Amino acid sequence: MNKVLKKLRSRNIKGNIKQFLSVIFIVLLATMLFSGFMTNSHTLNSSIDNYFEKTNLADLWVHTDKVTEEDEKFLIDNDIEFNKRFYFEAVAEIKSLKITNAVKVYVCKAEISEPYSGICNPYIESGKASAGYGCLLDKNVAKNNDIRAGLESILFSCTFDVNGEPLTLDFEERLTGTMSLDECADSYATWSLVIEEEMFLSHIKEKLMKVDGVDYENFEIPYNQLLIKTDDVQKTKELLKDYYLNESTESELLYLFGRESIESVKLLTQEVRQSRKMIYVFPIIFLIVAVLIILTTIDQLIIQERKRIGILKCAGVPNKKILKHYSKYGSSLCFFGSVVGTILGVLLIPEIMFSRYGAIYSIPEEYVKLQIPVWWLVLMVVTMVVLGYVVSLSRCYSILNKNPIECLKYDQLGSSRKLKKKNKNKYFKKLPISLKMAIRNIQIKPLRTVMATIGITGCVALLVAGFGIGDTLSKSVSNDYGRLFKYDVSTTYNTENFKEKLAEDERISYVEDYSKVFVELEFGEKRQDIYLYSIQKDSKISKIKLQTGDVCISKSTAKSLGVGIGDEINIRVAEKEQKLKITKLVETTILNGLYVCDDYDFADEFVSRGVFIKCDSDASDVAEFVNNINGTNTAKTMKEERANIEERIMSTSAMTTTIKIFAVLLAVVVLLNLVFLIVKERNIELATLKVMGLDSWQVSISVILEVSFMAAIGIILGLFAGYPLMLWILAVNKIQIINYVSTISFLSFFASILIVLITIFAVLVVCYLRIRKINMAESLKRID
Amino acid sequence: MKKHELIFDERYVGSVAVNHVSKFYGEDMEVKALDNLSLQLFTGQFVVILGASGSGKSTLLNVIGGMDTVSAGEINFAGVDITQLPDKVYAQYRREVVGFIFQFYNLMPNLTALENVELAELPGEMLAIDALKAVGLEDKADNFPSELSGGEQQRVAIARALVKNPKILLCDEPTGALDSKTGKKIIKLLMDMNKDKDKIIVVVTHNSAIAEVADRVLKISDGKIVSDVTQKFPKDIKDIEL
Repeated sequence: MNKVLKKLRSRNIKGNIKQFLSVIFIVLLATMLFSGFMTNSHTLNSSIDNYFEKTNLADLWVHTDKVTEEDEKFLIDNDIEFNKRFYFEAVAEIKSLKITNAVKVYVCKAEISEPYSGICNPYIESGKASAGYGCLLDKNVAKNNDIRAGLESILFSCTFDVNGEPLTLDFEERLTGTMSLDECADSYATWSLVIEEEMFLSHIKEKLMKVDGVDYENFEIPYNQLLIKTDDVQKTKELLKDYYLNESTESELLYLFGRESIESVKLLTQEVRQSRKMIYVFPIIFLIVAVLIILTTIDQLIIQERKRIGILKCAGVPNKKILKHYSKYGSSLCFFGSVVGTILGVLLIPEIMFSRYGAIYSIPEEYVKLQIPVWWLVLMVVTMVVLGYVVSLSRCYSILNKNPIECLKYDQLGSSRKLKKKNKNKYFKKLPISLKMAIRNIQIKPLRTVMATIGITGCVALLVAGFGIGDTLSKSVSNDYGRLFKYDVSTTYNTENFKEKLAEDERISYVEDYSKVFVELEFGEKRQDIYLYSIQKDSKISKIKLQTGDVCISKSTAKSLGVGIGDEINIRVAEKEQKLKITKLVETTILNGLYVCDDYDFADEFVSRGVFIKCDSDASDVAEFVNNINGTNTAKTMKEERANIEERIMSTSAMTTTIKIFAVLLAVVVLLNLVFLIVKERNIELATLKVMGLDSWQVSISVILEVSFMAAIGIILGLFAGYPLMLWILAVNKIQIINYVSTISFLSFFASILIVLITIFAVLVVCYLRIRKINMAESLKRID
Repeated sequence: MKKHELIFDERYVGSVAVNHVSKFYGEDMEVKALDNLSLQLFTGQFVVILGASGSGKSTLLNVIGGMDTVSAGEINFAGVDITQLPDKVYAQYRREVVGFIFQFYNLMPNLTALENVELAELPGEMLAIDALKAVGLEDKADNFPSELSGGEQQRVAIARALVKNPKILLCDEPTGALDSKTGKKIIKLLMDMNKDKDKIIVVVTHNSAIAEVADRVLKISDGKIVSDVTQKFPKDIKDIEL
């Protein structure tokens, strides 16, 4: 008997292959997305941990005007593990390619060679470096600009304090290799260059030899940065603050910050957090929608088997065997779909996401380790199988409870019994017959209607949310770069005659000063490191209008600290403290922080001086000109700044794009599944209509109306659900670099509707062709 | 209903000529449902086709009614070879010329009796409600098929066929799902439909008792006509036992 039942099952599957395939495909899509994003999150997390561990990322960064012997002694006495290095920013040029860009230069010991023993070691990607030899450029910079290590030279200038006077020296260093530096993992905007200190020192000495009155032999690298490893970050931080605040300490503390303030570390950890949250947002919603569809489809499949169940019962097959036989339908479909989906998800989605991460960050491929959350995935497959099993079992059980004769009765009229005397009012009677048929079909199949509506609702909501997130990201970027601040080029500088040089270019129509400094903000128990911006009174660049004494705080910062207008906050920069009273709030997205007027008495502390430039000609030409002025730290056009931010939020866009694609696939599968169900179920009716001489269009119209009605309801509900879904996703998915300004354009709603309508249209064409293909004679034979 | 190009030669309206028709099934055409079968049907005839299961009687009905294609041969109605008609015109042929009555009625379950008949209404022909009156079901016009008995459902199916005043009425086991008394009523109704002798009525059945009331009785076996008898004095429906 078991053999016969097996044959029966395989023939049933063959006979209903399209419906079975659609169930498998829905399971596959849902599990693929879930397993893919989950694996991506685990892989990203472990890869970054691995990266930070291997390169021995520092816990604290101390920027001082100089690192003295006294400082080193203090650290040794307190048993603090440290490394020192010389850090400066410059404008670099690749000699042969004539490409210029801002560069962060790190001059450090021979720890750039393997085996690593220092702190914040760069990972050598290609070429080599060793004690006394090495000049390594960021691998992404090299790759994006086609710079060949070993062949190209890099030109830059560095200013040293020689005999109490600043002396600027020009360097030309041959690149010996490429590297990834964990602190500069987001190497998009600024290049990073690591130079071996012995080699650099000998080059400095060679240059100083030619300068009169300089004791070049005893010249030492002016270290200005300490990298610290510690188990207790807070305690070490306090200890260092006390040390530098002590008046007897010779060196001056400029900045002291932990990993949380390193932009690239912040971005990477945020990326991990975001990827984890993503699992619980989009894929979970997708999974829920898919599970509902799977359950109702399996339910419908088993209902269609009612007659066969009756025959088996009449033939004396024990109920237990029938239950076992049919419960395998759901469980095997779910098993097959979820296993294939999980494998595809694990293989494809992290690959897609990592190609995105690879474009933004410099994580060495060697440190990327596919981390498969095996138990989670097994749990997911088991859950899907159990769901399929339970649904099949329960539906089969309810059919088995019926009298065998009831099961065997031809059920063409069965479902219509529910109609009874409904819809007999005079207005309904006037409706066209096809419409009446469609409405009544919807009435007598509520479960299927709910299934299809949920599917379409979910799909539209996901699309709307996906497009809305795109709008939000775009608006969030243009809020700061375009609305709040409107300029063509901006830069910071460190030379006195910079502005004079700037005035020489006739293309520049307006220049406005600004400054910024990194400060520690305190409000009650809460502390946060933020930027303090100083902008001109009556600024023509900024929409933040400030008068003397005004202190404006960005809304997101205010919210996270719980401060409001009138509250007094404490800010600390280096060794100085000041109390400020909040007078204004401003909605910012990226440029979050505090804004004060340039005549504010605290403004002396601003170490970073900058200008906003408006010009009459092409901004990129002007930016190039500005970059060539001595003392410029990266002049960027507003377009580049926007592109930089957009690049950083690219992985969010990638995820939303993936979800949008999956949402459309879901809609296709749901609708096709619905059409297959309807056509199969109403095969005899449709064939009869054909026999009566109705053409294919007239025969199809009631099915088309039925599907269109469900789709319309789904679209309407989806449009309503899309915006709250987007808000929720953004709330869950909050990231530090950007404060979203939630928005959704009419065009996004329109695009979502259009995509779904095109999908529906395509499916209806399939439906029409399928109905056209119905063989009247075969369909009316009724061999069940 | 949009009109298509289906133009009949008025001189031949009412006659159906089946010429050397074959119908094969299977991948290698190994099953012969109709084997080089020829026959001519004339207006006013009440024809009964008898045959065992699988003899090809339903297939013959299907090809005459335009429900199925032929593998070889032609079927002429009023001078037109219907086997060569394009899909749309074929549908028009089924809609305007042919009426079908099935063993299991094949009513639309979600349409009322009246709406089921309305589906087949043609402009200028009988109204659906009149067709229902003709089969004595005007008081059940608003009932769904699930609210009707088997006999009533078959009467609705007859009304559906009657409403368009078809030239050919094809009935596949019309009494197969009914009890003897109801079956007789249905056959009576079918015969009454042809009082004016303006239709060809073909009834396929395996119940030989029905043959006794027919003008002509065809017997089919293995896709061939093995007997073709014209009965000059068919029995009255009252005199037969189904």
